[in-house]
Amino acid sequence: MSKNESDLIRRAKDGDSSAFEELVLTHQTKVYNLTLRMTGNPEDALDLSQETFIRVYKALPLFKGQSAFSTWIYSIASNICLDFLRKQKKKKAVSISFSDLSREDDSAFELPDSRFDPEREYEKAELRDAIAAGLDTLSPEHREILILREINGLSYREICDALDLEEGTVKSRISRARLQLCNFLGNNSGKKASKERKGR
Amino acid sequence: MSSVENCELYSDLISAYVDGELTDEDSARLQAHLNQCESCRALLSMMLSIHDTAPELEQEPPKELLSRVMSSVSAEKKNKSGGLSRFKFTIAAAVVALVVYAVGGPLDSLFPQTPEENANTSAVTESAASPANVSPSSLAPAQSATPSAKTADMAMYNSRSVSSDATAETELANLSEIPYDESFAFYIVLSSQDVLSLFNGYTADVISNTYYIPFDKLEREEILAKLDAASVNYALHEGDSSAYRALVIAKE
Repeated sequence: MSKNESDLIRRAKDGDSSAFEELVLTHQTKVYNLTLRMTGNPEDALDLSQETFIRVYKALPLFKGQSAFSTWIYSIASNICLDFLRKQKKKKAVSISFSDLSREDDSAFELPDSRFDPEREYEKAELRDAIAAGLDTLSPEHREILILREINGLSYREICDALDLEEGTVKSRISRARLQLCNFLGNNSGKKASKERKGR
Repeated sequence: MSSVENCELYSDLISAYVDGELTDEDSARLQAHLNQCESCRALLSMMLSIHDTAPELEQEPPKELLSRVMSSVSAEKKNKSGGLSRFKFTIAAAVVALVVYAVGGPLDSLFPQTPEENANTSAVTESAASPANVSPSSLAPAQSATPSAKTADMAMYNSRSVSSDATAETELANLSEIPYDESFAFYIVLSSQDVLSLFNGYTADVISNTYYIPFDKLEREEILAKLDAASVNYALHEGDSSAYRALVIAKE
């Protein structure tokens, strides 16, 4: 944490709104992108980002600097997103398990088709869209950890702190999430090629 | 090509390599495997493509985010210095329901009460229900006079969940079913009002005898350690939410 940020936190704790505003400005992009990719909906993302910062504000006096301020905020945002998705799931009354992390250990390992080369199969913008679509298909826990790693650029250590996980779990969860995303891209590319053939 | 089982071991190494988190020793192992495994070379190529492209998904937040946050903060400040927020009122409603529940339901068996204590608890219930006596005393009459839908939900919850033959444990577990927008990570039901002084130092919204505590995971242990150290009789119930919130309910 920079000296400047520590100073802003101290001032915000003392009730200085402009200091808190600075903190929001610094962290809003990462928080918004986490909520956006977790919900897949800009309106929900805006609401959840707002809720995150309100909760940060209320809990600010309890922040003791044991972890980085940014990872503390991510942990709050992450909990808010998972709560939101859990409520959504209840509303939809989906019968499948919401967070079946046991699959992480016993799912059948499947490598994507080795003939698939994403940079050859997709235009750059298409690959971006396909990654976004693929993220939506992952379990909330896998999606969350990939967003933190690949979009928000957190290190393994920071992810451990934000999600309260052991480093080994972080490593293997990222790996599983990536593998599933690779499989999605491979399968999606197959469907795309088939559509293109039919279109001719 | 290597067997699939073998490749499964290497996918974690490939992922760690993409993140630059591989030791020299593991790098050498991976290199040797990649030299002979086409599938894993392809996997590495895909993971690198995702790694290179995903940051481009980052979007700027809408401008209104900052203004919305800051107006909420400003409203929060006003609430702290003045009236009772809608959220606090919701909690107050929950307290009424929970205290009523605790009086009439099997939670009593956790903390056996004397007739005198029972009278005190009833007084608490009434004071929480009556706007004039709720602490902080600034509860606006307009807010409290109108029963909310949530309060009605609570009443329904109370009437259906209190059964004479259920065990205290089962009934306590039912607390997680409270139809409540802002559920909690855990509830602590305390046997005495006195022990609330243990929570001095925590920033908490205090409404009557209920504490709403935003905390981090370390503080959960801190809270429990304090209660244990003071030999406080308490019941802990895991809530439904993974967010860092606790509700502490004290019985007088």
